[in-house]
Amino acid sequence: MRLSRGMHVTSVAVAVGVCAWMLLPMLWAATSALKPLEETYAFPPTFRVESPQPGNFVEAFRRLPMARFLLNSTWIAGVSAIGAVLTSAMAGYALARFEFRGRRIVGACVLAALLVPSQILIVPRFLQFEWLGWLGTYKPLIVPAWLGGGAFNVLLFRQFFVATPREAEDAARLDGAGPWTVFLRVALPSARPAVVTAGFLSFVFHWQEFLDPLLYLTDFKTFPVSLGLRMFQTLAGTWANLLMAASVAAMLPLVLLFLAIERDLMRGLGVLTSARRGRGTCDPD
Amino acid sequence: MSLQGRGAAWGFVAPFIVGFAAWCAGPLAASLFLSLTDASGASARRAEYVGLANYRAALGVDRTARADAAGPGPWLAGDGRPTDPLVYRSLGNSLAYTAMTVPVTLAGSLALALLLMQRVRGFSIVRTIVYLPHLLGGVASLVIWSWLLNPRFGGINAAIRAVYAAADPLLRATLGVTTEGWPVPEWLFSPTWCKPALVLIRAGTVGGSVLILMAALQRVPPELGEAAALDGAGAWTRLRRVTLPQLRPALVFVGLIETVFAMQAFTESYVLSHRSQQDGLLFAATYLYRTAFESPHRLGYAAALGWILAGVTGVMIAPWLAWGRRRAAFEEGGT
Repeated sequence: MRLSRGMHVTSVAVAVGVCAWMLLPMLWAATSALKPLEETYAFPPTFRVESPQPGNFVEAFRRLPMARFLLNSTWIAGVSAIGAVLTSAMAGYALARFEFRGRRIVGACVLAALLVPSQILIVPRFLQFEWLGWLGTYKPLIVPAWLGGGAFNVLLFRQFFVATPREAEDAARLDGAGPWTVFLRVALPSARPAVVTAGFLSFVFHWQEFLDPLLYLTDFKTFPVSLGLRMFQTLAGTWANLLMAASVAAMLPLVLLFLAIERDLMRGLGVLTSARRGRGTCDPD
Repeated sequence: MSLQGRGAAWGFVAPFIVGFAAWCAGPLAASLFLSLTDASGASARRAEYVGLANYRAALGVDRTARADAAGPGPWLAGDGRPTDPLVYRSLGNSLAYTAMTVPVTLAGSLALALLLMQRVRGFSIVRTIVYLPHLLGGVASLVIWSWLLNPRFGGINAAIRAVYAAADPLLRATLGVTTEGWPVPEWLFSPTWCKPALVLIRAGTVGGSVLILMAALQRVPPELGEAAALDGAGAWTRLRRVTLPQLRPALVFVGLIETVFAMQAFTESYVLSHRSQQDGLLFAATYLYRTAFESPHRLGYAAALGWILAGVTGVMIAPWLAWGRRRAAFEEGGT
């Protein structure tokens, strides 16, 4: 649809306003992080930075082990994301490609896992991890990701494989490759957009996760950056400039990762959101 | 498929099945059982079956007590006060927050999706900018927002004051009023403004919903709009009569997700709660957390709270499901 001139100008103006709103927190944090403390408490507040203090970042990392927190988060989110992609791709692949007795039940389990409200599971899961002796370790955060990787991801991979032709896989099978070889060598590499999307979204999810680490971690040296930042806020919240510096540091890795894979991600999300209602939901092909 | 393939299929789904049994189905059953016991901190193993006592304690109303000022709220008329007023308080907070945030995020993401579908140069960058905050909606962004919303030193109120100052001469000249001394919201330091503050924060993270709605918009056949335009339908009519009905499944999906997320909100409440809000941000999930993980660790009671919250959430999403189903029935009924 072609836009009239007036509509065009209005659209651009609204879009600029929206962008300003979306970028406001990041800009505010970035400028506040560079201010000396008395400037952050100046009235009226401004975006202007009179004398930039890059040393604030160093100081923020010295007050609390922010570097450690970032490393912890990278480890937790990275290992979880790998497991989530691998096991959810396996399940999604089986649901899309194999005829087997009980497939409908497995499909129903995926939907059920999506629908179960998480707050019902909080208490029994905590007791379960306590019983397993996993409290204070990363296992409660990582092991579930390696077992199923989230129903949403399973669904995502299923939709992707359903929408993908299987000729290459059939050819490999005729060449004598077993199902695991076909999956690892042919199907998974061809599912790159889905792998990138699911992997990235899992990484972000585990990076941002707050309640689970809050429940299961005890030693602050093992905290991910979400908990670490909360600790920063309660212990040193009045040092607004340092707190903003720490917040920027906590978001920067995600921003950089996002910008690095943006093209793949947007394509993957496009394919997957449009495949969501592609061919039938739970019916055999 | 060969026998070998059949075995392999189970190998492929095995991790998911194990995880589902261990961390979904199992805990679900355990939670139901726990909610019928008096399990608490130190003695979770020696819990005793108490029937529906937890549910009664959570939802019951003590008719002999007088309603007090901080009492049950308007939906419980008459004498008596709840045996646990915080249950009603926290559920009421969650419901109020959901009622505020879902219309805003739904309308906002629809408007943004329609805007970003326009073919304008540079809009692909706008799409990226809109999606990014959705990914960053964690503790870091909450901490930033709490500073941005600081009543005295934050940027939001600075902007409001600037608008007041700019409007002042005009208002003086025309209406003879001055904006001097007009109040600015106290945001996270106020019982009335703390929930709108949260809605404001959420409104910045609609990027995920925008993406879903844009994908749905791409599937609307352009011929429909063109045909309507030939029949003389204006842009507004086309939007209401052609686009929105086609978009209904996606809108239902987004509305469902936004509702469930708002009802389960925990992190924002935990990170942004402040004494001066007088429990204004005490959400149902937060109260559950406090009950279970702060002394005296009433685990059985917390499990019951979880089921109650799930039930209320179910009631809240029922309209969405009904709305989604009506379309399916309509389609099957004939075209």
